[in-house]
Amino acid sequence: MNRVPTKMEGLDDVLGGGIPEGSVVLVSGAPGTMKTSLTYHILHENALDGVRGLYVSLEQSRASLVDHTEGLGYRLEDTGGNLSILDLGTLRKKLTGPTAQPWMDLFKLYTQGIRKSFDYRLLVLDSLDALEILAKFREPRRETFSLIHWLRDLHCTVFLLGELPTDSGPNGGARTAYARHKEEYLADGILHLRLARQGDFGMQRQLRVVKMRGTRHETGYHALVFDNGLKVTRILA
Amino acid sequence: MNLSSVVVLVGIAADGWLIAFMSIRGRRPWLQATFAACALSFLVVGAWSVGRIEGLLSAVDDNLVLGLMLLTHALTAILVLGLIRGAALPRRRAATFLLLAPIPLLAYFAPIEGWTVATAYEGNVLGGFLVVCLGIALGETIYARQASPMFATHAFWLSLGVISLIVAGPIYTYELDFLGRTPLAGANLAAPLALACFARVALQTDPFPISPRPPKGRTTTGGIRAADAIVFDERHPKYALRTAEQEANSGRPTLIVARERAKITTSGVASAAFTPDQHAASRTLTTVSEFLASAPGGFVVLEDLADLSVLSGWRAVLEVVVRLRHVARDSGSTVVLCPSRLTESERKALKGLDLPWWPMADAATEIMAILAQSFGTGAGRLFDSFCRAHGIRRDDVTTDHIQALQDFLSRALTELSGVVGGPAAHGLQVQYEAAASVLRSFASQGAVEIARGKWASRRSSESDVDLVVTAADYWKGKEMEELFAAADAVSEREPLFEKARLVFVEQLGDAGEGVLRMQLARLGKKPEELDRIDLVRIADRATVDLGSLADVVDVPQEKERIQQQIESIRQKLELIAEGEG
Repeated sequence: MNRVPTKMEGLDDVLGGGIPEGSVVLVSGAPGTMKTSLTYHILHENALDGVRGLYVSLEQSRASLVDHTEGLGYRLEDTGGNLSILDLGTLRKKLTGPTAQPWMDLFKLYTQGIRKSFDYRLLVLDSLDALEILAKFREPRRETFSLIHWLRDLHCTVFLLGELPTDSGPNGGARTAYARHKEEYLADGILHLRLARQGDFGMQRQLRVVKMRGTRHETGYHALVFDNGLKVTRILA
Repeated sequence: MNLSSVVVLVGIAADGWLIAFMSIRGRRPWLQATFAACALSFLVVGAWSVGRIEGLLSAVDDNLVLGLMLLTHALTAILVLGLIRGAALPRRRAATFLLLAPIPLLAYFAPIEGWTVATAYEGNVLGGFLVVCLGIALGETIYARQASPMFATHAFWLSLGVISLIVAGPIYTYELDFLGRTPLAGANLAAPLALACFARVALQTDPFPISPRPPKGRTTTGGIRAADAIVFDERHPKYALRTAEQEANSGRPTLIVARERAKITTSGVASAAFTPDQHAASRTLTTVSEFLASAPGGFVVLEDLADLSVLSGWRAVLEVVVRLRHVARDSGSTVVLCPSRLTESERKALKGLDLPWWPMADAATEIMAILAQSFGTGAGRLFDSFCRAHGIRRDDVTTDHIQALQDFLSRALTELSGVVGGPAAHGLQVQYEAAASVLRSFASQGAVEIARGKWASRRSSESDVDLVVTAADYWKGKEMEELFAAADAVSEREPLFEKARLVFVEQLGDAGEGVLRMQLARLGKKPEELDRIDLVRIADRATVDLGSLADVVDVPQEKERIQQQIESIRQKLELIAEGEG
């Protein structure tokens, strides 16, 4: 089985070498858990090796996203054109009007159309929740199922970013649901990110591979730290 | 100043001009470098000769000039071989440079054996080498003139160049020697004439401009792995172009050579258009071979063999095909040839070359056959209604139109459902779904499957007509007739909104309808209220209003593609508005 390396210190070991190619992976977590940075890291580092990636942003504009990621050291120009950002956030502001905009069709139009001239192998949709709101899913579960089915037919590795409410409890609590509409059953993999308390005042970002089909992976939480790039390490008590 | 010195100086100026001209105009770095080296060595030997005759350079080492003289002869042979054989054997061109190998040895033995520039053509090893070099060049040009229909004209000019060098070289030297006059000490008065002849042939066989330039170093194998020239036998080169797009999408270096530059927007598909002159065949050969030399393992479509035949003659085209087959095999590449519009005798001659021959289905014929399986003899009427609704000719229909055809039939059935009874409507729906399923399956097949598979038109011609019960028979013709009428109505009675919707959907897919509705909402109109003036207004504002669709993309080719789609929407809306006016 071919795997897409995450190129993140520690995470590929947790995943047994990387993410199986062609998987649809749900990256869920509360705001501020670095979902965007994590997936951008994977796209950026693979792009440096010539693997093309498309980042579809429905929330942040390109300028804002590039500003944010360059602050973390991921320079877009270093990728030699192998990383493309589809700025649907800006389009959202421009396409205003009294009628409903065809966001789902537009998303499909772009992601399929771009493929003709930019054969990307990695796709990030930031975020599933934004698309759901914009496209006004009438039957969210059925339409999410249909979307994931469609994404699978793209034959590339897809990361869907999903928002979760901020965790409660002393250590974030033991979460049992990682998505709103049971996407966890449809996705091939789930990466859960959370902010866990450390001591009285500290917080630590943590990552857990909840599920990854076709992979023997570690199931516990690991610390997600940023130290000259993102790293996954064991949680020190 | 001596008259011969003046003549040599004029020649030097001409050599310099030719070097500059070739450097600017040429498109083959290897050949340009060889030409420049050859011309430069002639130029230096000429300059030394003038200096010697005028008594300015008596101190210059005679051996150095002898070495340069050897170089002029060896490079002349290499240049002529490169001009004749270089296109077919780009990866073996380095072998011709072995002719340079004896030069250091001869230069080393020159002082020992007492060989000088003045006595270079005398009967010794040195003279033998010089004569062999010119002999190779002359022999190759004479052989090319006899054996190659494509190269006959070029061979004439090359022969002229080589013969002029022989006349002004060894023959003139013997003549001066016989008359007791001072020899020109290595300078060849015919060098500018010969170089002009070589430059003429080089430019006449130069590759066509290719754009965009393919990225180097990509060696993905793609879907078609045969290292050969393959004939895609189809009425219009639809599968050839579609396969080129697929191969480029898989990362394989891809080139389309056609009469007009290909309108494919897929990144990685390079295209070259051949100019309408008699040298189109030889330039096509060098274009493809240079492309495959820089991108071995590539994929090339040679689209218009018939046009090449008109321009350069069929014998030249056959030679191009044979040479391209060698190039494809040598470089592990695939060259697809499109024989559409060739005459029967030309097709027969092409078949005589025993190339892999892949018969390709014609999309329009297959769609007709598939529709006939479900809708009987009225399939033609349905198909014509669809073509009329989309403003396309039958011949222009490709597998890319199948989705639109399904939508069209679906709409006709929806309209019909209010007219015919429940069971009949259900029956027609079943027939439609059966046809749609076969159409989808047909559309999903690539060139390899099509070449191997059984097509609907073949199956229907094989089946026993008497035993076929079509839907038209089953439904006694009544409801089918109503379906055909509904399809006609859909195409003819399209309200303005429907016509505009089709334009948007054709360019933007399913999102098109939503985008059109947004434009309408901005005008404060409902679909049924859309009139000609609104259409003009939407067309006028399309570039600005829809421009944001392209602004959000940072892939230049995709941005350009969306801008083309927007321009196409604008033009088609204007046409509809004009038609309504």
